[in-house]
Amino acid sequence: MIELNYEQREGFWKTVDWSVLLAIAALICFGLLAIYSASNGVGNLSIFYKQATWVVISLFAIVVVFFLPLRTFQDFAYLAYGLSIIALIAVLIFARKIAGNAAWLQVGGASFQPSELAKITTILALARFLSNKDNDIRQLKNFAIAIAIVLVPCVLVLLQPDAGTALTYLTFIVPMIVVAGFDFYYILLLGVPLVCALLGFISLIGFIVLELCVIAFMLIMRRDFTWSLTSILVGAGAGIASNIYAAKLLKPHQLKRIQTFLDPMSDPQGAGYNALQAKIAIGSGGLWGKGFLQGTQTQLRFIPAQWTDFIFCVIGEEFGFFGTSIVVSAYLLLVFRLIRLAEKIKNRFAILVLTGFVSLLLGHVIVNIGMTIGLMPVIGIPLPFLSYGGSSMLANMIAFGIVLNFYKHRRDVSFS
Amino acid sequence: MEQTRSMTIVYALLALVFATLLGRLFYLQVVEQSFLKEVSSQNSIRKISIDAPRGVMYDRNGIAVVDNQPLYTLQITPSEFNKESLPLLSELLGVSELELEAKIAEGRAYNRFAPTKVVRDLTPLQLARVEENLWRMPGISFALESKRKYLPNVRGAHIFGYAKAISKAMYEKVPKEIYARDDIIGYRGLEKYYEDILRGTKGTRYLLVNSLGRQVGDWEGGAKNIPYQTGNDLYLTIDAELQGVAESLLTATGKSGAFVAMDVHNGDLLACTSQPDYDLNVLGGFTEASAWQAIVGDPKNPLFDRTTQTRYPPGSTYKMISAIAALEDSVATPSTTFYCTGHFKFGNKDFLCHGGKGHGSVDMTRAIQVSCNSYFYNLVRRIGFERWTKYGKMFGFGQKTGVDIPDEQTATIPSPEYFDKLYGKRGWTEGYIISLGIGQGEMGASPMQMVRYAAALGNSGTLLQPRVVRAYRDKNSGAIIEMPTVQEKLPISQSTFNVVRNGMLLAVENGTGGRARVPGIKVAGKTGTAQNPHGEDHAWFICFAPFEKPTIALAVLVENAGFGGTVAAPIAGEWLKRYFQKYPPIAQHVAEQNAKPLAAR
Repeated sequence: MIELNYEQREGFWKTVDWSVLLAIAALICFGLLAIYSASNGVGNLSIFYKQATWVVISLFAIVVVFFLPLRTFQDFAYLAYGLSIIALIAVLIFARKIAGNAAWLQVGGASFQPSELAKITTILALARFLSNKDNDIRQLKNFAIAIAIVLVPCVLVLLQPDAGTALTYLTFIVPMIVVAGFDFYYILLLGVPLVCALLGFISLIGFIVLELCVIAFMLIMRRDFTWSLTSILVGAGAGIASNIYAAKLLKPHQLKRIQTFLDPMSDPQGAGYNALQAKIAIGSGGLWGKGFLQGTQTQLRFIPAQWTDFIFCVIGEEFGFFGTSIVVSAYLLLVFRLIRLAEKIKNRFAILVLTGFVSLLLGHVIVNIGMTIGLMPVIGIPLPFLSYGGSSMLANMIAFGIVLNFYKHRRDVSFS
Repeated sequence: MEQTRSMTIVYALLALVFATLLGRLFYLQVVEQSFLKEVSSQNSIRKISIDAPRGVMYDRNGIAVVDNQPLYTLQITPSEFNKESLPLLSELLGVSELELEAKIAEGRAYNRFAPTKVVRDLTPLQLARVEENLWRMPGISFALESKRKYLPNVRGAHIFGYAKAISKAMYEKVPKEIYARDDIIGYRGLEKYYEDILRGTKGTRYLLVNSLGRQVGDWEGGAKNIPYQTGNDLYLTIDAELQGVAESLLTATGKSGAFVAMDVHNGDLLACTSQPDYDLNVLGGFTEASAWQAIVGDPKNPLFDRTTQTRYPPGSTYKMISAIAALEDSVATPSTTFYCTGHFKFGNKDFLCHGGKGHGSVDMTRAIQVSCNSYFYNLVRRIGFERWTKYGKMFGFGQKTGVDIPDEQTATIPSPEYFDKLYGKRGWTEGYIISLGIGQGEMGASPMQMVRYAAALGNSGTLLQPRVVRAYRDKNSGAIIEMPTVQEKLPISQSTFNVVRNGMLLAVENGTGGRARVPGIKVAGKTGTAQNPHGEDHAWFICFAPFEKPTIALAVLVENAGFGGTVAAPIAGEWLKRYFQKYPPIAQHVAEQNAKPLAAR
């Protein structure tokens, strides 16, 4: 009875998280402006019109998802996941290649990228599996199933081959299983040697700092001493070994890629070109930017993939620190609102879904923006709501439709 | 409790992540902004200097003798140029791949992001062929430069000279704030002498270039561009038509030689040529290595400027110096007479005159008229070495004339001190000076020195500095800036000149220089033969006209032409005929009246 009167009691105003909608609207506006500018630079505005069409379609999607019954997502999670897997396999068989990746399916007149939507369905499926009280994540069988749910689409995407997108599937698995009850300590034990090995290769100082942090963290956690010490020691060994030997073991082109990431200036015309031009574009924008359509880096096509992976550069160059800080703040707001919602809601499935979404969003934002400002290696993944790409836009809108749907039902008794 | 603690960690990590992103953005966009903005400008804004055309040279009547015409140069930006385009480019241009590659490599070594000039002076066909295929070959662009254009009938090689792309060795020496690699610089002639005046000021163009290196327009609509400034124009003293006449007259002899014509009032050169010369059209734009080799390797040495760089004995043309010295220092009078037997014995040496036939009794005027050697053998013994040297110097021998043509040479005029140094104190005898008395032996003069000597005889004692440029137009102010004339009045009396000039008049009217006669005009001149130990003698002829009120003086040298009267004098006569057709003597009757007392003598 009570839930039926929910809307009457609270009023429609209270059913929607307006700050989330505002942040999304701001991001989409910036995205459209940047895509217009970038497509203007290449003299092909059809890119902009396509994206605008996808924005309209996605707005319909978010409204539809918002009004769907709450149970839908949980009930249809496995079905959606199954369809996604089929689509991913279909892509491998029928797909046409775009930019070296066979990631698109031709549906009617539009081409579609199943790997984007599959991110959402994978999170839903994993959340449903983990939310089931019978599936204790601490049991090896359940742990293996949980991992498999993510790895299947991940591998299929990797086969396309699209390593960047495949990587994004790994962003949400750890947070979700930890939230589901898996002990973060074990992840730490396993993770330390891996991260140490990677960091040891890149920077000796960074590796030492990390080791000290890990030691401090282990001390605070006050868990099993032997395991902690083993992990730290193995990590130290891996870090030192990779620092000394990795350069000899890696193939020259692999080494070069890492070197150009560390110092794009070392090869400004070759491998480091993208990273360098992106940095120049953003930096040259200054505090207020060069103005809409005034960015020389953008308009003169110095930025690679400027309407997809490097869209952030266009904003940085034409709207300056003013524009970039608005965009970053909008993402921060989204992340913050999602975490707050997860904290409020008592429904296990919803918490897990929100955890997945937050991780996915954060992963995309950190990697994409990080690469344009020289903090991350160049990995080709889109910036949510900003980058050109209908599938990505639709997937993100559906995800936030689900988020808003959860928000609407945040105080729903049956939901908790 | 546990939940709250993990959430704290999550929020802390979030704060850290976003603080890092915003901090980095702030660093790039605010702290590093000016540096990265500069880099971004360099990325897309290319500074291109535009060569300024050199100033034009006008002859004394305003005819453009050295003009400009467009020259297209193919340039390549090595960083953008794809090596695979090389065969196509080579085929389109008809230039070997090797040659192109070498040029590109040179540019790459200097700055691979800057366009380097690879093929200069494209033919219209080459230009069209490359332009059509430009889209296939990134990194190629054209530079519009200018090259010189000359009149078809006026060569003027040694006067005008040429400018060409600065050589590596020369580039080391010039100021870098003015010259860049590949710039054009004057190498010879007026182009070299007046380099600072002729050279324009380069302009600058800021071009927007996209990531493919393609030019997409002017930066800020061209507001920041600096236009080039054309070089200042030179106004020459040369008469293009008469220059052409002098060149063809000299060329017609088939021999090497030089011709200089000078205005006796101010030293202006109306014609000045050295033969053989070279075709400036070959050197005015881009010079093929083979064409250059042909000029350098020519045994007749066309690059050698015989008007300012030869040092042949002046021969009998120098006899007037001895006469002037004798008269001025009163060691002889006009009526001093010697008897010429055709032989003059000095010590055990026999100096011949007139092939040993002898002139009989001659006075000074007649001695000049018939060019009697014996007379001057005798006279120079009376004058003595020191006086002879003094008067030679007075007329500018042994010194550069100061003409505005670069690389002038001069011989030293002999003096007792000079011979002491050359042969030792007792190493030379008085016999040496007997040869010097008739302008032979250990001395040399250039046609440029000879013409100012002839002019000084013509204007009765004003020694002029020859010049080719009388003024230039300052392109900034539009003002015409006159070059100063340099002249010196010699301390020699008119009566002395009257004797010598009369002798010269008679030499043409009825003497050795008879073939220089011009109908209706009195020409005074003197032949000379420079003894040449290596072959046939060189012929000299100097003159001035009209005799009564001279306007023009000439010096003609024809190498290996024997006696000066046979080959050199007719050239002078023919040229003077053309000259007086163009510039008839002003108020001739007045001049004649003034000259009557002279002629009556």
